[in-house]
Amino acid sequence: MTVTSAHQVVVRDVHKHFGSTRAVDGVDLELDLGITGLLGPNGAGKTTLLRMLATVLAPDRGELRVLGSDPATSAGRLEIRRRLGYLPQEPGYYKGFTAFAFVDYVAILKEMSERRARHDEVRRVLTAVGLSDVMQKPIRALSGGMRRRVGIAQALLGDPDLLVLDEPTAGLDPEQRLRFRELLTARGDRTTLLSTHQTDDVAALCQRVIAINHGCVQFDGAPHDLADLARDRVWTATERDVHAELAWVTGDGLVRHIGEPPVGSTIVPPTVEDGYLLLQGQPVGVTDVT
Amino acid sequence: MNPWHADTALLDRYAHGSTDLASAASIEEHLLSCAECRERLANTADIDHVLPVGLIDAMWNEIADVVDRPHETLVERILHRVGVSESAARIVSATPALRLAWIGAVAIAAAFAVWAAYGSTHDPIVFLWFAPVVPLAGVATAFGPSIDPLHEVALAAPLPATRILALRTSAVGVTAGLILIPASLALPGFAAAWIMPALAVCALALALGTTMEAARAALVAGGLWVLAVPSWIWFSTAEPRRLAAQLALFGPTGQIFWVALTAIALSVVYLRREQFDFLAHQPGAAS
Amino acid sequence: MERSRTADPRTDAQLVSAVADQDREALRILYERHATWLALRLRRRCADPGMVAEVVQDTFVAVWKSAAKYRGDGEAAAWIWGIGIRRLVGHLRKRVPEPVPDGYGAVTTQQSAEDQVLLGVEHGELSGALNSLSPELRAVVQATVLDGLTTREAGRLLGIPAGTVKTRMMRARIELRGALA
Repeated sequence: MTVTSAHQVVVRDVHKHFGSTRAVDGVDLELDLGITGLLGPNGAGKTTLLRMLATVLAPDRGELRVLGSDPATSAGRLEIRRRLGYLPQEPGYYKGFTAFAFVDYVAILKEMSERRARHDEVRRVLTAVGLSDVMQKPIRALSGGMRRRVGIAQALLGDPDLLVLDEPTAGLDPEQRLRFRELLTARGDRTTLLSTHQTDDVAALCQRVIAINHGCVQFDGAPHDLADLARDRVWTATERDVHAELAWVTGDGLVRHIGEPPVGSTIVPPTVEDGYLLLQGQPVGVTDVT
Repeated sequence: MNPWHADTALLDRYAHGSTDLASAASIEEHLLSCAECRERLANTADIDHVLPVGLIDAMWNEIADVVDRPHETLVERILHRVGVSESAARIVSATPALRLAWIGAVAIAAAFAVWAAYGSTHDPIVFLWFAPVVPLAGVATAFGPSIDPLHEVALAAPLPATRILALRTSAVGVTAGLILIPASLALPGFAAAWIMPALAVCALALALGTTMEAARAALVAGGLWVLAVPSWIWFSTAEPRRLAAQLALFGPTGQIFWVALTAIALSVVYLRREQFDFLAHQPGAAS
Repeated sequence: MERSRTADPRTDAQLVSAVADQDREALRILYERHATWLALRLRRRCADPGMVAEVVQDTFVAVWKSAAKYRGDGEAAAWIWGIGIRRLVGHLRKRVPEPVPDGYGAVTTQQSAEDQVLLGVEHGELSGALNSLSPELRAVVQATVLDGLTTREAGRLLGIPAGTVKTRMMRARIELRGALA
């Protein structure tokens, strides 16, 4: 089956097993320009799916098309890798390398052989992530959030057409996340796919969200549509209502409920988190999530 | 503190080089301790283009270029001396583990060389037994998450995985070989008999590397070899056992066997070379 | 390029300390604060603008590498000048195969009471006397007294033997003493 389309990334009935574990169990999706969030808990299959799009894992079954090339062929992989930026979930670092030396090394792997131009590009990406002060410091001397930003910087080398980021916001504070968002939007007409297990990342960063669990896609649409799943299903009260599917105490001391609201309750507008929780179909009962 | 400040006109003349020595001396001494006047001087010079336009920025770019250059390790310096390109040298010496493997292989090879030179009356079988294992350090460092924290990032990059593999394997292998080959000339008779087994063991490790991590593959291949020699001696029925085993393993028939094994292993590597392009399977490690 | 030299509140000494800690931004700010005066001052000792640019560059690279050696005694600007002038001397005598004295520490001067007065001069009768010295004597006074070079270094800077530096310095002092009397 030849998959030709105008989409940046096409995934058709892709499966991946590890032994008896079905990491990706029949996923279909298409990615276009813009920022898409892959939302799901740990073990949902996000990393496996991202790895297949980043060409470092081959699917057991199904078709993939990334930036118009087929990653099943080595020529296709090479073509994709030349236009790809990837940040794995647990990026490793070379002990003793400075942030600059690290990104420079990745730049070498990205076939930037001309030293001066390469160093200019390294400076550019490190400045873009706000690390120009510390680029000459050893990575081990940097905080976790700064290391994550170094990882993001190496993914930005060469201004890739497809950016695949596995949990890029881990360790970033809200101000840094805002800066990260500016960075992604500044990429303009490019495709970015990032994974997260936090709904507020999705709300803050993404134009589109794909919720995934147990290797399957549960939702694919705009963040506000995900929130809308819980429209008129979210209410607050001063005390916990046992009829709710989910209830928890929020920061302002009220109890937030999701489910079938009793008559006369204070209905509140749903957040992406509300919609997502409803989607997960938590068992009936009261769950404490603060 | 001196309350005197140079006025703008004076600074201007100084910038143009049209002040007398005494005034210039005063200004220069004053500038050493007055940030305000330094700044005023900088603004003056900019406006009047005493210094070429963009010179200050251009000089900074040169400074940044030197300051930013990553520190060159000892291994890289040696490789540059031998004519290896900057990128290749960096790939070979990137992590401490790689540099350690390189230096370790060199050290062990050198120790063997010394041993061979001074212990040439000793039974060469010990040398022949262990020499093939030394280049395996090169294969062990070829790739894999345990040796290279950037393994996954490197896979997603355009530089072919096989190129990195080839660079790292040959860096260690060639260096070990360059030391061990002259060393083995100090031994009687079986001078080069270890080379084909060494190639075969390395080729076997690479072939295994298409299904498992390089470090593990090297361990398995090396382990098999280390056990093979005494096993062969033990199970040999001809007498005297040691000599017969030596002959079988390293003699003419043995060499043919090693050549064949190398050829088969390298064919496997070639046929399965795409496997190096992906993460090794991690059973049960789903997320 | 951002002109942020006024925005950063750190003192020069604090910046040098940060540079010792591999703070690249601190080096850039130090550069912004000191590059112009350094270039201009070097220009008055070396006619070749290309060499002046190289020396300024070498100086700040040296600042990056040896920032830890600055103890905070004396002005950072004086320390930077000490590095810069010695770099210039080094460049000028590159043809002569002799080791360059490696001193990035405090500027070593052999300052007598006269020298102190000279350095403190702003306006006064001494300036007239100084300016009436012949050019060779003026150059020697500038190199030894103002720039704090040793007679050997001054010799290399001016392209004359150290002995000649000494003789000219003596003549300069005699003339200046005469002017003060």
